[in-house]
Amino acid sequence: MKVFCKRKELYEGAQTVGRIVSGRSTLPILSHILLQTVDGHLRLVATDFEVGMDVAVPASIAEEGSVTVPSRVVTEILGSLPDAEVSLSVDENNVMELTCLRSQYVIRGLPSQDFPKLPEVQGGRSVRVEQALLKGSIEESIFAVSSDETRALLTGALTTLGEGMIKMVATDTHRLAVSTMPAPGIAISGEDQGSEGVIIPARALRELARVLTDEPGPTLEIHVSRSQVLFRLDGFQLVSRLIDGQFPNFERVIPRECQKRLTINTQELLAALRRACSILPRESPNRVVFRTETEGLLDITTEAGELGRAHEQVEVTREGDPVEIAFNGRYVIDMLSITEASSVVMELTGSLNPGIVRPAPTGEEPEGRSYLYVLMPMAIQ
Amino acid sequence: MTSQPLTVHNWSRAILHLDVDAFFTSCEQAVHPELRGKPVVTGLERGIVAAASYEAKARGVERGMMIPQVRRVCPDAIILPSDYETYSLFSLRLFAVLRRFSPEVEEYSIDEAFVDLTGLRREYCGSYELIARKINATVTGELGIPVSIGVSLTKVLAKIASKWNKPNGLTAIPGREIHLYLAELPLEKIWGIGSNTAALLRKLGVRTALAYARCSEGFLAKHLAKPHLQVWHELNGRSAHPIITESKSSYQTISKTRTFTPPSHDESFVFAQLSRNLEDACIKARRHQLAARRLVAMLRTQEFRDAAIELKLNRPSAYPADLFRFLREGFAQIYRPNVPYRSSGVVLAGLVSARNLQYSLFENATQVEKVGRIYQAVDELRERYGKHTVQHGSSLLTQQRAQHESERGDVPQRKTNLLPGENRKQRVGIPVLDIEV
Repeated sequence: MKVFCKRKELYEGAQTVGRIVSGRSTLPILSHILLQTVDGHLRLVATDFEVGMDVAVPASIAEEGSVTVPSRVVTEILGSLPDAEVSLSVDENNVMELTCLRSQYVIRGLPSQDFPKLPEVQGGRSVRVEQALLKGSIEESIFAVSSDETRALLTGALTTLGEGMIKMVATDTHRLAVSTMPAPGIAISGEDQGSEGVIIPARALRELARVLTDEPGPTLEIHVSRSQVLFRLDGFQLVSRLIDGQFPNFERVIPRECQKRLTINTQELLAALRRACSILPRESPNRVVFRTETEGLLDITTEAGELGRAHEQVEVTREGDPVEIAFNGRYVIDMLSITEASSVVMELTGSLNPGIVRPAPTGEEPEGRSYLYVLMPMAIQ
Repeated sequence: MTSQPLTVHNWSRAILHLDVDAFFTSCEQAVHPELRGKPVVTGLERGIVAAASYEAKARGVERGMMIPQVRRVCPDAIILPSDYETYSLFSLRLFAVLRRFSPEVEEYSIDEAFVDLTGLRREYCGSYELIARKINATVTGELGIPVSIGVSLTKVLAKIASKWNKPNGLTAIPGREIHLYLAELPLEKIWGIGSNTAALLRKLGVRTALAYARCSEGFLAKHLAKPHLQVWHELNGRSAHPIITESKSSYQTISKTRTFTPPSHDESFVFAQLSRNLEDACIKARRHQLAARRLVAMLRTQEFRDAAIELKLNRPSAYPADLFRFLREGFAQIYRPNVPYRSSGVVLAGLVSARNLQYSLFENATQVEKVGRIYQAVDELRERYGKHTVQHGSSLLTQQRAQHESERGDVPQRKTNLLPGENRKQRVGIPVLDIEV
């Protein structure tokens, strides 16, 4: 194999697929990326058996071929080289020579035949959707996914790609995020597979969101089969295993009515919470108590044991009885920092009942758009 | 080379280590004076030797030996059930005596303590060795239990000193004499050096404690870990282990284990034991306002085979009512029918502060809170009327049958010969001497 690429393009490609590569794999080849010449491009592939990613980098090809090379080393070298043309040539012993101006590296690779094949997604349902919509959905829900590996079902987001809408649901049992986006341009074909919603691992969604743009751009192609999902853009593919099982009945835990309603400026609340939480120990559960003792003000307090305590006040518009409730402040911050709304509404009932945080309606939302974040309180004591 | 002292400072600091000789049996001999000088063994209720008096050790009795074997090697041994209540009272009094001499006392274990004596020579108008003699005389005089004492510059050296001449020994090692004590001392006798480290050191040509103390710092840093480097400083008379005076209040795990005799293969009885372990562990966790994220259940068969399982909880808890579901699940996985079990245990792990309880969306928070209030009431009743005044039905079998049931009546005397006003659950906190007046 002998190819020439632009340093920057090759580096960005290697960086993107490199995020899939696990640092501590028992199989040495999984710490490698596959380089392969395909149709006038250099294809970079990485996988950890759960998620696989494939990026095409523009290249001029002098000789076809393929090899696998250690991901971390190659990415680091590419990252520190000057911006110029990089030449890669591989001999029959899988030894790759990387040259750029006056820098030359010889890197021992492994045969490309040993690299695991990315699974093919066959049959199922095909969807074409605007990139920005899916990216928005992912950002509104992904932070509520559980990081507890023993509850595999909750380490992914329940994703429904339906007629005219995208819905993403995530929960770690302490909080629940439900994002619904109208998608008038969505095109669906193929079997009915996935219309009920599939659980996509959070890792795959996070990597996907990094690649998607906020701007109107080419539509994203999605193929959902029984056990796999494939996302495809021009020169980019991401395949992921789906999480098998029944997502918990989340509709059941969404409060249908509330007795108290607080409307608060998003940025003021966010800043106050960040300050109040800054005195809490890093590993602590960030207990923040919310009280409305003074008319028109919300009192936010945290207790950091021997270190001390914090008291913040923000302006609030209250409907209903005074409020006293404790939440994990980090959970509230997570939602406030991604919402674009200038104010948020907290819908509460008792100090032991779940509460809802949602963007305050502006009256300009498109038909079918909704976002709600359900939070379970902490003990006040 | 060997005659050169390791340090020229005789008493840059003075640390005393005290170790009670054969603690459990010494307590028994203190409350039953007629047992003095006789081979005494405790641990009857568990069927194995928990402690043996020096007289029994001289006859070949060892810790961990099965009781029938004790009867063979030493037919006249006096074998008693363990009376932990009395032992812990002796322990409390021992530490109280030591605190009269110095406020800096570390309660290292039930029968071991470190005391910082630095600077006390003026107060007692005499050497550190003399202060150690006074401590020895006070402990033996007031508690009637023999102790071994070592005094030196650091904790590691003090421990070597106290072991130097056991039982009833008193050894002081001043700085200029450290090398004389270390010259022939095998590496394993150093506190903090295990058999593996010792084997490694021997391969590197280091054979005695003195050779270890004379190694260069660079050499040790290259081959060993930081704790071993601290031991090296301590051997050279430079203190690296501080005296920790606070009593233990933070826990990483809380475990409760009990042996029952005779062994049982009755499923509900074995589960009742586990249930009792869980209740006991939870009581301790609640006392320290902790809640567990993980639960370990353990069973030991009569053949000393262990089976254990670790279970992850859906939220931190110290309420048995929350944990029974997990305990039953774990029990079902490790329990084998028709196998006689001899002990059970429970470990609460991943402890976090119980004050920051986060409720879950998928369970009823009001219910969780109600359970909390029930246990608050249970704890108040326990405070007033004694342990297990209110208990779970699943633990009931442990009370209907005695923990140690046999013709021997393996219950310590302190629990049967009660003082006026005492009952099975509540007794005054003093050891009772078994003397007819």
